[in-house]
Parts: sequence; structure tokens; C-alpha cells
Amino acid sequence: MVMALSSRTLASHAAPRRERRRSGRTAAADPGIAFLVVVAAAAVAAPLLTRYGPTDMSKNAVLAFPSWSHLMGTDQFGRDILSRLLYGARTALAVGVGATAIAAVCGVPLGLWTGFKGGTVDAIAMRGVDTLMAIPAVLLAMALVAVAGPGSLNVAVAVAVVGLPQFARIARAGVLAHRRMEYVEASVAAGAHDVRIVFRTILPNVLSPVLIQIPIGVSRAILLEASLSFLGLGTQPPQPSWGLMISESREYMYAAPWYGIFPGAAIALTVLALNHVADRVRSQWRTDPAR
Amino acid sequence: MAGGGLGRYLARRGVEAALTLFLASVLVFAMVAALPGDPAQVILGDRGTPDQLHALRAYLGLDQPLPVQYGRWIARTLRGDLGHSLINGAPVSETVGRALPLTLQLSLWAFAVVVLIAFPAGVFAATRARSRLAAALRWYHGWALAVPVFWLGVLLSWYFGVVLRWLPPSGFVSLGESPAGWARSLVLPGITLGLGVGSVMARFVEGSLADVLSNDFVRTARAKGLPNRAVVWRHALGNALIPIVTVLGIQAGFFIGGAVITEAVFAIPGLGSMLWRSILTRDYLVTQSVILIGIAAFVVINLCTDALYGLLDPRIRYQ
Repeated sequence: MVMALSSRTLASHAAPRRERRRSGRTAAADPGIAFLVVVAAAAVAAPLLTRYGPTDMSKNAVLAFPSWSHLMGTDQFGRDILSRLLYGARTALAVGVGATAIAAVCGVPLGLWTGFKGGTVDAIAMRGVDTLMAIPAVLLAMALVAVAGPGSLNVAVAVAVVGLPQFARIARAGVLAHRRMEYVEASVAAGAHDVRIVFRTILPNVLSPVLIQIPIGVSRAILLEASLSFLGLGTQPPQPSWGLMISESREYMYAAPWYGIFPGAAIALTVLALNHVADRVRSQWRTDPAR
Repeated sequence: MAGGGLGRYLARRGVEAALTLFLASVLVFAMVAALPGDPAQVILGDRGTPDQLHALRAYLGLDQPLPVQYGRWIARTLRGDLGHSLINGAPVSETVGRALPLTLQLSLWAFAVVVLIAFPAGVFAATRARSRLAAALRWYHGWALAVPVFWLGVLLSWYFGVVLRWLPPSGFVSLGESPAGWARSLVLPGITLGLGVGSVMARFVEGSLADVLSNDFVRTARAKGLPNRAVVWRHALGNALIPIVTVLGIQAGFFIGGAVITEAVFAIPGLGSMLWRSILTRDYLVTQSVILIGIAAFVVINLCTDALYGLLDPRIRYQ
């Protein structure tokens, strides 16, 4: 019953089971994954997709309506919005993926190791993790940026710190569930070193919840980076960032609503796609009993 | 007997919350203590005279060891002395006293939005799971979770405030000044802050209620001829509330962060705006105080939901 609750609660808009299983083998057919691939490709190939640089200004086309020469119009300095959107995707993905990677690479071993060792080390580490989780994400990120100063890199680190506790908790929960299992005890009896047991024996078996956390982490990281940049604490002008673009568009919303609509739609669609992928991965792991 | 169980449970939770709060306060203290070089110099920047620098050093107790500095800081904070803003020299506690009610009012409106979305949408989707509207609701929730708070705020303020001119696009009118103006000034910010959390909660209401509805006691209630409404709203929802309450506590974190952003978008001079401005102007002591207040609020909210959890579910008390 508990299982039914959590799966329904967490993946409430997942596809019906039969359809899910049928489409399960072709990841490319998934609209979420397809969209993310397009975004990533567009970010990488940005210079090829647009004639304009993200900071190229034009006096003749200020706040221009979308047209053939500027598909998404221009901003208050005559910069091409499409170009800024494409280069902004680089910022969003770099911070989103980078911060989540740091969070996972630091958090997972921390959770695995302390969970396996138990005792004082575990108690101390988990107190620290609980304390970090007791600070609302936006406040924690803002506090870190307040000390380190604004900028994309500092924001990425701040976002990583925000995401780290989740990875540590998830990895630890996995280890606690597996620590007393026979295959682990067999490995202990065979005289394997702790490092080997934790990372070679246990890790592959507790990886699935960690993998589910990755798209969730990236989606939260992108939202957080955009929020901080919107507040002027993240990516600094004239660098392109989706959150920053929305912040700059506010003064011109009446005259040029498209200026604020395109970057917001880019964030929403990317986050929607990531959440969709997370739901999908989660429901697939649940239907797969051999985890 | 049951009261004793609940008391013990709450006492344990209270001790845990106090410990968390203590550790978090150490982190918040470290935020200023970790400033590179002489914190007083960094805090003042190029604003201060040598006299002010001396005074601030003495105030922060920088010649003392760190634990003593922390002790003095926390003792001052608990007394309500949050120091003075370096920008305008005003006592921080006074500014907090003016800003806090605004943030609470905004939260109240947003919470109303959350409840108005979560229960009707969640109950409907759980009881008519196969209907087209339930599918549409699930689709909608996916979107509501993906739209960033600040963008929603910008769009609402632009469309309803600037294009249609139905509501003020930004700013805050106090209740005493004009009750109607107050209500109008909080409609858009309330929706901005409440919409996303409303959808998260609607999903949980749906999941939790659907789960409870499959129980035997629900079948019994139906079998003895109770009308559907009584079964769902009285029998099932009461039981479904237990996990919902816990999730509400966790969501409070998003709520607090969202409040900061919402206040920034709508220029509401609450705690969130205060925090934001303090970071932009490097007014570290203000930043420190507001973040500590935010954390304390989050910890207290979670303690309250734990208490509610214990009240709603007698089993919890005896763990």
C-alpha cells in the first residue's frame, strides 16, 4: 500500500502501464528526451544557428518585433533574442548539469561511506546534511552568493551545495537497505576492502534512485540559477542567461512582450522536459523488479 | 496516557529542531566570520571611517576567539538586537518588525491559493481518476511545476496589471490604509507564490486520497449507504491528511524561497525584499539576520507539522 501511494503520488501523470512498457525501449520517441537533446544540441551549435553574437548590438533594430531577420525579435540594445536564448541555454545547461554533477560526485560517496560505516562519522555527517536541508534552497543559495559574490561560477557552486544533501541522503538510504544483505556479507567474508565493498559491490545495486535524482537535480538547478540571475545575483550582464533576460525584459514588457515570453518559455519547457524524464525513469524502475 | 505519548514525541522533535537550529545558526554565523581578511573591513567596504571600523570590530568582538564571538552574536540575536544596517543605520530589528507582517500577509494569501487549488483539484482527480478533466489537471500540474515563480509573477503583473489594468502591477497597500487596496495588491503576488505549491500539494492530495479510498473501511462506509460526499470528505480525506501534512512542511521551504522572489517581482517591502536588497548592497549583518529568521521559520513550521502529524495519527506517538 505504501508502495502504491508513493508511486501514484510521485508519478501521477505517468502514462498507463501498458503504453509505458511498449514505449520503454525507444528513448528517442520520448518527447521529453527529444526536447532535451534539441536544447543541448542548440546550445552546443549556437554559433552555427545564428548570425548574431549574443552581445552584438544594433542601433537600427531596438525592441524589434519578431521577423525573418530576428526570429524572436530584439532587446533594448538591439541584441538578437534568439541568439541570447541559444547562448543562454549554454549557461543554463552548464550550471544545471555542472552543479548537479558536483552534488552527485560529492554527495553520493559521502552518503555511501558514512551509511556503510555507521557510528559517529555517520551521525555527524547526517547532522550536517540535515542542517543543510533545514535551510530553504533559495536562502542557502543566496547566503552563499552573498559571501562569494555574484557570477555564474559562484552560483554553480551554491546550487551544487543545495543539491548535495539530497544525493547523500538517497545514497545512504540505499546502503542502509543493502548493508545487511547476503551478497554484501559474502563480500565482507571474502575479505574485500571496505572501499571495494562500498563502491564496487553496493554502489551498482543502489544506483537507480541516484539516477532518478539526476534529472530532478538538473531541473531544480536550472530553476535556481535562473531565479538567482533574475534577482541580479547570478550571471552578470552582458552575459546571456534566461533568468537575467526576463529580469531585463520587465521594463519593456508593455512595448515588447515577446522579449520576456521567449526566455521564460525556454525555462519552463526545459524544466518540464526534465521533470517528465524523471517521472519516466522512476516509473520504469518501479515496473522493473530486478533492481 | 495518549497525552503523555504525544508529549514525549513532541519533546523529542523539539530537541531535534533545537539542535538543527543551533547548527544552522553556526553556519549563518560562519557566513560573516568566513569573510576573507578582516570581516569588519569587508563589511564596511569603503563606506566607513576608522572610528566606525573600530566600533564595528568591537561590536562583532573580532578580538575574541570564534566561539566567544558566536556566543555574543547569538545572545544578542536572541535578545532581539540584530545590529544596525550599514546602509541607513537603522536598527535591523525595527526594519524586520515592519517587514515581517507584510511577508506573513503575503504567505497567508498564497496559502489560501494553495488550499483552494490542492483540495478541490486533488479530491476531484482522486475520485474521478479516469475523467478527462482529471487528465487535464495532471497535465496542468506538470506545467505549474515547471513555470518559474519569477516568470509567472512577471507575466501576471504585465497582463493583469499593465494590459488589462484590473489589478495593481506591483506595490503594496497596507490594510489600515485601504482594505480593498490591500486585497487588490495581494491578489497577483498570492497567486504567483501559491500556484506552484498548490499543484505539488494537489498531486499529493490526489495520491494520498486515492490510496485511502482503496481501503476496506471506505468500502464499509459505502456499503452502509453513506453518500459519496460523506465518504470522501469525512472518512477518507481525514485519513489522507496525514501524509499531506508532512509534505506541507517540506513544501514550506519552497514557499519561503518563493516569497523572496515574489516580493522582489511585486516590490512588496517584506523580509524577502529586505534580504534581496541587503545582498545587492552588501549589507552583511542584515543578510545574516533575515536568513536566520527564514531558517527559524522553516524549522518551526516543520515542528508544527510534526505536532499536527502526531495529533492526527495516534500511532506516531508511540514510535
